[in-house]
Amino acid sequence: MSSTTVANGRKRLSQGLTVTQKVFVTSRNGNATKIVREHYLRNDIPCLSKACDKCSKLVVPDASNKLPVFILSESPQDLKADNIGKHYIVLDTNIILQSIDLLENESCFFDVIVPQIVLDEVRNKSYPIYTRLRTLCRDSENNSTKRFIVFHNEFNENTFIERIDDESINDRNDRAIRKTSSWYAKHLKEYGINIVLLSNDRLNREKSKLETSTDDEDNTYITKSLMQYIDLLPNADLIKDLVPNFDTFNTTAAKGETLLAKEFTFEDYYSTSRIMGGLKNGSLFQGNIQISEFNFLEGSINLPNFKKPVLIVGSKNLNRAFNSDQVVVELLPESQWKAPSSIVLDAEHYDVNDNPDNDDEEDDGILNPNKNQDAQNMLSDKQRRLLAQDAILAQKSNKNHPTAKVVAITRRSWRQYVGQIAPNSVDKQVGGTQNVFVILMDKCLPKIRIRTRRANELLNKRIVISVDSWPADHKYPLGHFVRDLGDVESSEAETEALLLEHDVEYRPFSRKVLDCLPEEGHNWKAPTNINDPQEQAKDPLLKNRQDLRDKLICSIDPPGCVDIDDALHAKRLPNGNWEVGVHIADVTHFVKPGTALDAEGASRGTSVYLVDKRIDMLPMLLGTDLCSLKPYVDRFAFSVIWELDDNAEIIDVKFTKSVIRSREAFSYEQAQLRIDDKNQTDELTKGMRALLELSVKLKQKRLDAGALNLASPEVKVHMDSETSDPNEVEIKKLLATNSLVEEFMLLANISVARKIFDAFPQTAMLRRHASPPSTNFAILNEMLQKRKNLSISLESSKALADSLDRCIDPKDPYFNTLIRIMSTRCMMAAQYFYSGAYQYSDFRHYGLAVDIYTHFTSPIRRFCDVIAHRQLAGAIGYEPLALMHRDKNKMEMICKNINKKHRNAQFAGRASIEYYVGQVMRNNECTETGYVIKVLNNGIVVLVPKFGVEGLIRIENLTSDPSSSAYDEIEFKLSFMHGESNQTRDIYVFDKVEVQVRSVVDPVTGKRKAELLLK
Amino acid sequence: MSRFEIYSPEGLRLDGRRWNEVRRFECSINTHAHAADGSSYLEQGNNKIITLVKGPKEPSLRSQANSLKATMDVSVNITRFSKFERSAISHKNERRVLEIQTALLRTFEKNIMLHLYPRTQISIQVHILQQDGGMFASLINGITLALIDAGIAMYDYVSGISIGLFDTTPLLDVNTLEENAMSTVTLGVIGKSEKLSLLSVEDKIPLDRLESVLAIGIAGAHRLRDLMDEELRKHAHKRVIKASTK
Amino acid sequence: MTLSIAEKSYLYDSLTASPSIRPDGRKPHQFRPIEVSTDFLPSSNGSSRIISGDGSECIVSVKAKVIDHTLSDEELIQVDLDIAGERTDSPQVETLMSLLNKVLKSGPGFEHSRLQLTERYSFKIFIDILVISSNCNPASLISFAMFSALNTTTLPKLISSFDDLKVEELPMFDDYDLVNLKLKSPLVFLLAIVGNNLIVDPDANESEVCDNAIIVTWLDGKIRSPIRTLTLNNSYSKGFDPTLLQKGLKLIEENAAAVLTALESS
Repeated sequence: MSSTTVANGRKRLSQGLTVTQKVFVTSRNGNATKIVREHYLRNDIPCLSKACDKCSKLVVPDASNKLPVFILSESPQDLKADNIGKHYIVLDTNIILQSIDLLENESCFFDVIVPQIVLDEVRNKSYPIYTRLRTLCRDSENNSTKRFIVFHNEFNENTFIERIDDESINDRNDRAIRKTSSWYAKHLKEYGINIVLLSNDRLNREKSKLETSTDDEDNTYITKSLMQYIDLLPNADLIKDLVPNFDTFNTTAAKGETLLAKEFTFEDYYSTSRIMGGLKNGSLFQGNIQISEFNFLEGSINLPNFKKPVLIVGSKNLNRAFNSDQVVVELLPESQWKAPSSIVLDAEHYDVNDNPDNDDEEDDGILNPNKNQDAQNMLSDKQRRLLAQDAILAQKSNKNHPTAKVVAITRRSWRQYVGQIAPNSVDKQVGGTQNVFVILMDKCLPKIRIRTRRANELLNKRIVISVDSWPADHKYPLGHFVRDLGDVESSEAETEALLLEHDVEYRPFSRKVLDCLPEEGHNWKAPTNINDPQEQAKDPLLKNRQDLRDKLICSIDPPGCVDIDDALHAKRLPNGNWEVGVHIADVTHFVKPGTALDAEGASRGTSVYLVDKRIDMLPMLLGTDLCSLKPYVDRFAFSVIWELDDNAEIIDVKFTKSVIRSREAFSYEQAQLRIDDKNQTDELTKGMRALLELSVKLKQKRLDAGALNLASPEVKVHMDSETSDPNEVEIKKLLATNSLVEEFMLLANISVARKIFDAFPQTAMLRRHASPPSTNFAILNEMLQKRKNLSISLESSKALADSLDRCIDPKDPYFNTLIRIMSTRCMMAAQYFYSGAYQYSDFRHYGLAVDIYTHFTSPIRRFCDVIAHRQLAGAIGYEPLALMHRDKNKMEMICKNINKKHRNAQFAGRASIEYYVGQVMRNNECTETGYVIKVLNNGIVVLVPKFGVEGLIRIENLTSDPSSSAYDEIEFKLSFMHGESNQTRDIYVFDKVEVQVRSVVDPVTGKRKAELLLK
Repeated sequence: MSRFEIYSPEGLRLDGRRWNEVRRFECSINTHAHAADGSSYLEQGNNKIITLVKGPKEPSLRSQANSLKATMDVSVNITRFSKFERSAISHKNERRVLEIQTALLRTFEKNIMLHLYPRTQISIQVHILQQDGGMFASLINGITLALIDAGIAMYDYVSGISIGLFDTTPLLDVNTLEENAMSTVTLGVIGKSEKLSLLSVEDKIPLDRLESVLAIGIAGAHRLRDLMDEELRKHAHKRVIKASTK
Repeated sequence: MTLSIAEKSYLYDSLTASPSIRPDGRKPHQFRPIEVSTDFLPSSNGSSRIISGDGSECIVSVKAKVIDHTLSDEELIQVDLDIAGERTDSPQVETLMSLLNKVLKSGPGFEHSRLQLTERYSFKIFIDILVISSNCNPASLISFAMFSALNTTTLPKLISSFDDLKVEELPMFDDYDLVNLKLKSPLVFLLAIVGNNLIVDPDANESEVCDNAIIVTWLDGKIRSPIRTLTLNNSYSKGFDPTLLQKGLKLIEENAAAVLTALESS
């Protein structure tokens, strides 16, 4: 190969391609490795501007023979102000990391160039923001307003720069961005398009000024900070509030002086090398912090080796950590260890009178400032390790938990949050920009300081904000306004808020996704004859399907169900056994792996059911029509067909893709009536009766094996059919037919799980439920022991089930349910996993008491089931399994996502019910029976089964004289003076109490919640 | 989730190449004229390989001699310092190395006219000084060059190339980062033909993609053959000039 | 290539003549030309490749790793030798290894403080030697290659603090800047004794007929230990006059600096 060495160690390989070496050092675990990688530079990277007529000549097609699309407009936004003129924008990394919301805004940032180096940095810092940025770029092809491109400056021979000695990587990258800007400026000069580089880094801007003034005229570009640029826009006023808050550019010089004089500061975080060293030698610990839902100034962190969670108490020790941040902690000396607090404290009522403009706060006295901080820093690591050993020992013996302080935050969990402006932080006289506090819906988080000019306008609105920073000298984190969702308590705003809070994707399906649906739309029909050669030509897999349209199949679902996942049939076989079929909607016939539809489903993970709304995982057309096993029409299904004997023992099982025709869609109640109706003697009813009988046997077998029957306070909100206002709450009823369907679904799931695990031992999509560690039940057991002389055994699920059965209070039938509800909360969450991730013995589903389990029966609304379908199709040789479901890493990612989405969907569903229950109560104040489930130092927590709500009753609301209260943590008792007579009243845990339930709006926060008052 | 964009939507790979571009390929032959009968030094990307061919020579052991054809042996020495992290153990007698040696032996046995050299031995020694992905393929190229330098009769060039499959895009001549992130295929292609003397698939690859992978692999191998051919001709030209001016 | 008895006899006579006549016309203190290239393996911290005129070739790589020196008292320098075609436990490799280890330990050039990073951590450097081909004893060639590799070795630059004994920190390094190690390794010279003559850097044929040979270690302008005798062949070996040793050391003292300068400039 003819290769000539050119300057800087670059080597020309051929026309337009040179190679150089990238050398750098990686430090990992204290070791330093020199890394050398080849780096190719090229001349065929286009500027992607429609105005340019030079670049279109040098483009080359990619692997799929597609040429790059030129995206940047030939007549971009023309800003008269400051002589900017027609311009493209080049972004630096921090602007993207801090203001991605703003970049997504439709009313600014039209033609934007993202240098590759910036994209890389964004990707390393925050993958979610990277994805959003990439989406912006991807959608630019068909978007007329926002045109974002990635320019590969690092691979372009004209814009690549070598690092200079003693130059930090950040300086080098900044220089590369400036180089890109000046290249673009020169490149587009002749078309009259200017380049504006946006950077909030003052030094960077100064350097670029310096460079452009010395360089030749041609490559001059404009440099602005984000704020400076926004100010120049015609619609600046609308956008300004959306600019992130870093204090650096909203603090005027005069204020800067007072900042310096401030006394309130958090401790600085430790250096990376200190953290690495400390983690390695066991003097520091890393974990995810969980903020107590009762006390936002108390966090806990579960560490391996530590049986009890380590507590982090007080804002100084929390040191700016948010709920679920990944943090590094250092143990505090034993003298400061303590029991978890039994005080309730939430952000909204704490320091209510703080002024959002001030940060000079006195120490939060009660919350344990770290007085002997200096003495502590003198500890050597050896002493720290001894401390850790003590801590582990101490946990076994006494009630105190070791405490710790946060010394570094390794990963922030920051996202967008929904909240509302604290009314008392707004100065109604001020018309212009002011600092206000936003109280977040999530009780575990502190209030956020934002700067807005629309404070008065936004009062009593649900707003979305984003957290930007939390400098050490600020008591509260800084954020900025993102979006207004609407009035507080309007059902639209509240629904959207809770979807946002739970990270549920609720936007309509995109064009690309909808394009994957069958062209025929609602007119799609299953072929009448599956042996028809014409039909087979259209769908080569058709011949692998079985025609089961002769079977008497029916579906049983909740009333009004439109997405019918499953249908059943049973038939007596000549040999006296039963043929039982479970038929599941064949979603994977329509959702093929690798399509946009598939990706969307995988990302949504599950449908989300709210009281008044359903957020579908798959487009309506599939969910409620083509896949839904509606009666009287032909539908594709995936069938599991067993031969069961009279004792419901499995003789044989077969799996097949099929065509079915459901004879009837029953509601649970209708099905129950039909079965109970002695006059009905048709084959369908006989089949249903058989199913019911078999299901009873199946259930008994399951219970004998130790399956748990747990409970959660599930309620249903009735909506007024006319006004669609919620007007009544009822507890869900269970019929025998519910259990009929459930048993066969469980059976199908188990059979499928075995089959796919057999076929794909490493990547089968399964679901497990770990046995709960005894510590989870420690407190509940202690309470039971003390108050009722009962206990829950944890030896096995069978023992647990039996001991739960024994937990009865002869005087109160509900007591058993209460214990079941409380036990449910002590259980581990079931999780999706791929079979390679665990040992077979750990596949166990504790709650169901089976050795292996998966989700197969609801592919319309759960993505796990979709994968299980594909794997089963692969296992029976229907069609080969896509590679992505045979790849451990990809399966790992899928599992992680659907676990998260599943959890979020549950939370969102509960939050929705909670909200509507609140709305119901708003209209009906009433007195109800409740149970005390937790006793705290300054209040009690009461569960009201009728509404499924639980609420805290603070000591102030229990008695007129809070100082008279006495808390006995051993007896789980709170005593206080009560009522007119001023008699002492003792409240114990599990006490049945009458409470007055009403819904109130908190005067401080404007949040509505159920308020309980003891009668 | 990889830390990098293996193949960006703009069609560029981690190191700036496009999907169908080979790495820098620099070779020279007759680099160890005193030490061996044929030798080559090859840099394919950051792979650096010295290959020595000794023979045809009298077998070191009489028992190794075959009266019909030459016997061959290949020894691959992966130095401990060839990767970024020095390996704590020696690679000699590692199962993987033994496998590679056997595979190389099989590949070249078919392409050398061994029957021309009965009762002799041809020893091939390869030293890997630095590796950066697609090692197996580079070994093939290094050996081809050294064999030609030794003047051993072959039917044609054997050029080695590795191809990765990233989702649905085949990537030619993978480096370490790419190799670790995806399934790869190694090919040994004979001359300008579409004949394969070696096909090695060690990871899962969907069968329906194999064809496109092979197509780009063969094209890449032909490109390498041309680069080797060019170098050999240049070298020969120099020798001719040297000889004629003597 | 082995010499016939007559050839050997002729060669021996010429070498013992006064002054000795070497087959390639070199003076007694003259070295054969060598070709040195350094830093040709970018992924190592230091590297060098030496090829001598007769085709002997030696490649040296220097790599560094961070170790906790409070945990173990392992040597901070480890040498590994691989001679192509030789087993690692062959006598030749083992003799050379022991020699090289002694050579590296000699002299103040190898202060451990150079490699110490912090109170707890040090660099450990691994010197891997690959002898691709050699026609005569490669000790001298290896020492030259080691010298030039170490001379150009650069190590990552520490940016975390030095004091980490009490409050432990993992060392952190600059992600780009490398600092020169500046470690001088001793040079090893091979002197052949033929009759009353001394010749440096004997080639393969000269080695065949010399009476005896001495290995001399040299560093920083001084002769150092180890100094060893060595038999290069089986047929001609015999004792030598101790005064020759003095003469030989003097010869090295006079010429070593020039070799050093040549290597340093490479």
